[in-house]
Amino acid sequence: MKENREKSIIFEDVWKYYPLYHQITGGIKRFLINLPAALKQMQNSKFWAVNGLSFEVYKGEAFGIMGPNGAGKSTVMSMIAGVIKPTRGNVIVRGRVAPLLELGAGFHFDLTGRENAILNGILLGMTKTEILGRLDQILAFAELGEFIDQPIRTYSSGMMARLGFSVAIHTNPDILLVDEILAVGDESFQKKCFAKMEDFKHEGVTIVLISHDRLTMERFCDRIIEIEGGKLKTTHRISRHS
Amino acid sequence: MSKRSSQYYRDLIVELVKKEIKVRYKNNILGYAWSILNPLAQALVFFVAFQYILKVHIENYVLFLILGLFPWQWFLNSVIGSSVSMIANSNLIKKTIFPREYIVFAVVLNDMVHFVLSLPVLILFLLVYHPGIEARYLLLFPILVVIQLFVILGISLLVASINVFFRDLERLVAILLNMLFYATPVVYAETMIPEKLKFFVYLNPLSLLIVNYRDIFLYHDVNWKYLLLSSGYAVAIFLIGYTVFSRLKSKFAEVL
Repeated sequence: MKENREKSIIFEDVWKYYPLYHQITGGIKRFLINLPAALKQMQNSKFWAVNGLSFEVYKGEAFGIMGPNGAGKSTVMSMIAGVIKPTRGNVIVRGRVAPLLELGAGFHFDLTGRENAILNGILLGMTKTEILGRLDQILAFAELGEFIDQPIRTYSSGMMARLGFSVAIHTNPDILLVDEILAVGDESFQKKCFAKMEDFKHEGVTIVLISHDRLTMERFCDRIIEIEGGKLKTTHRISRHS
Repeated sequence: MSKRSSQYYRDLIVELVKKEIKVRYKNNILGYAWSILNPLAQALVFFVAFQYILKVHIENYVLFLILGLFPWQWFLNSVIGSSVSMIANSNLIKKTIFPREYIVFAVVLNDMVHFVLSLPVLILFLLVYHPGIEARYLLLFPILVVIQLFVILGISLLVASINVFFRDLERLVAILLNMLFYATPVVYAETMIPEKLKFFVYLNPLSLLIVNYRDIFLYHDVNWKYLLLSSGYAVAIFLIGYTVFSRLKSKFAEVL
């Protein structure tokens, strides 16, 4: 049955290596002084972050990725977001992707919440008309009250997280990428976020989640994969009676 | 998110530049004064140092200085601002696929707006010190601005993308800019350069531009050869910068 479901993300035997850039990010001076050695090392020293990973995510599924630090979780997320291309293999992503940005990323502290919401929405791919049409909803969901027109340097980290989350979910995404973000914000807001993500699931929005917190993952996800050393280790299907 | 409308790109650039301007002024009316004050203070220092102490003889030296310092300031601020712009926005670059070159465009256009806004101050100085503006030469001002815009964009794109990989480039750039300042006829006249070093003027698009800014505002003239040459540089430099940036940008998220 499930095999007939529409797929929204497909990884087909995906490999990704990074040349060890620290050779050059160490600086021009070091690079030039050790030029022959540096060039040779750049050719040889590759770090394979993802090693032949294959999986599929279905439309409307809540999909969790777990694994220790350096397992390749972030690289996988980056490939779904389209900011990193695989070295080998295919990554197919269908629909509009909305990443949840790190706390305050893309925000400017001297601008107001309203101004930042507009700017952030544009950075996430919306036109200004689209944002203005949803601005009331965005601001209402963020529950900023009279702080809306205050510079966000006056905000608490929870308020900033609410605004960031609110903009991301109002971009009308087909796929939402959630990367350990919800650790910030108070409990009631976390509840609200998860409730919103449940709604999304019912509307057919795919959600990919990365977290270290197994409990949260098991409570929310339909399926969890564990990766280690860039390879698939296990797949758990979570059966939930609701 | 494959193909976006041209409306989207317009919104992106407008909002990014608006942000830069708002942040610079911090919703402060004095913001404008501050941005003008810096080159004016510099002009005062050079005036005292070179004309009053070193007795360099250049007529209308204050105006002469301003006409070099305002364009230089635009160039300097944009190149320095761009060099760190990718690292400063690494959070966005690692997560979203919006076109990275727009960060550089926004930095450069913001400084351009400030440069153009310094025009009234310039005109004021002209009226006080050197009555008689010839309007037909002023028509060339927008052309010079566009040429300079593309020179700066090219260099900024180049520096911004390479600095992602070589993080100490920004230090090197600061040193080079400092040297370039004295290699460009900002505080002295092009005519004072010894014959042996004259060739350097031709190698430096900023020299060509500054000579022409002075020609159109101060000497009611225009150096067509320099205008043409600087346009050529603008096209070439922009193409180089844009090509290098485009080739490197897919790696930014991996390195940052």
